[in-house]
Amino acid sequence: MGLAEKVTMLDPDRRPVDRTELSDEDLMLRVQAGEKACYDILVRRYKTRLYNYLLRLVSDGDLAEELAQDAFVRAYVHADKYRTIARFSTWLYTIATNLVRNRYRQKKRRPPVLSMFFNHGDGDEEVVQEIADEAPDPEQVAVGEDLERIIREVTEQIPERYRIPFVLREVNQLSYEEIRAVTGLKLGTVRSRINRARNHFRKLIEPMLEDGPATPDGETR
Amino acid sequence: MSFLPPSRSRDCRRARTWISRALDDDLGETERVRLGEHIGACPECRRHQEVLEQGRQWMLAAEAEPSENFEWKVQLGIQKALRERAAEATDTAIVGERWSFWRPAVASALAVTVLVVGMGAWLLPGDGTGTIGDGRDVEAPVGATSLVGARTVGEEEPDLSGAVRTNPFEIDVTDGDFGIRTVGGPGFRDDLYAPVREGRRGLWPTLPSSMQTTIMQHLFWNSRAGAAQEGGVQRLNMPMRRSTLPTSGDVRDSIATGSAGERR
Repeated sequence: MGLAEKVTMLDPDRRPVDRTELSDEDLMLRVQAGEKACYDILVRRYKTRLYNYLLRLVSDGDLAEELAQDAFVRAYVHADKYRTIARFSTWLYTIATNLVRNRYRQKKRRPPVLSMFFNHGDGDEEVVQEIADEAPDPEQVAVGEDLERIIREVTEQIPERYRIPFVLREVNQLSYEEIRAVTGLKLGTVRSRINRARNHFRKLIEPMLEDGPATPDGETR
Repeated sequence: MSFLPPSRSRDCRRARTWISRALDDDLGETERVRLGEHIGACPECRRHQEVLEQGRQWMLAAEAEPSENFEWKVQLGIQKALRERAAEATDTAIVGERWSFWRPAVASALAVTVLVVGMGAWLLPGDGTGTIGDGRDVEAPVGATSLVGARTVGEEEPDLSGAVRTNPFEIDVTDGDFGIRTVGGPGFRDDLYAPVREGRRGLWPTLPSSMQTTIMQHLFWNSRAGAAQEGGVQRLNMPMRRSTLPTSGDVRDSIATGSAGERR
């Protein structure tokens, strides 16, 4: 905890207030009032959650970090537009999701290099065929890294339109209502897409569950 | 492509939906009971539920951490964004200031344009009058031509109401007197000198202020430069209604009171 966060303030009743105990929304109100240190607390609170959300969406650690930083910067610069009728987390994820969507659009405009999207059958079930751009040696990666790689490889094969609500639910544990607010989808669509994503996920993860992530000594768990 | 085999029953399809909702605590009690009954009898759906639960645990366990300098990078990004925003605001303000600086000038130019156009329309010759610069020797109104050249003090005031000209006029400071005459206009000769003498016309106040200023400035500065003593003649390329020529007294008075403006 930084010094700025430990410094207590006085509330209107002249009682000391610990910034770290404030809600996200209260912190944002203070940010709007010019208390920069309150935003540092919000960044600390959400950096890991936002980073993992973006990591599951873009499957690239550097890009996820860049997008997360960009989202935090935008949220701060446009803090005056934040209204407390929405939760800060919802607002932040909305900004981040829009950034990702912009990336997807840019990616789709370019000739596919690493990722090829194509449809099968009725067009509703998209399959993403990925060509691995790097092949880490499974013998040398730690279990955590191996698990992370499995999850990354699985989630990146879930179609984007299903992936966003799915990750918001599974990784960030947002409610359906919050996911609806972030994505702009109808509530029924949110449910439906999460269900579809899970069907994809189950199909993709099941073989790996049987093998399990590799342990450092090469054995599966 | 569906992940559900075509042979799967409708109950299984519905059970998969319920399994998904159950994971999110979004299932009613009745549905939950019915799902339990189905899973108890359907190993495939039970497996589906187990895989999803296991996968969820894996996803949570696979949580990664951003780099150690993440917050520092955010701070840098914020500072950079704020700087850019401030620069944009400054640029906007500069543009505004520049516009504020030029706005009077632009407004003045527009006003002058409107004035010139208006005067042009006003001074446009009617029947029987010509305009300077068209190269033709147009017959001027009889009254205007004759009266301008021949009049002397005490003579009857001519009716110049129809003598509308766009001729340039000259200010003649010969002999210490101020004379204004039109030159080169159709139907007029340079020698049709029309001295404007005191008391002849008291129409100076009716002249457009821009014309007054121009006349006075020329007179004033030529006087200062000795041009008047040398009998200099200044030609002003300004259209004017001859009936509104000022008197030399008006001009002199204006100069004497210093209202001609001084060049610093």
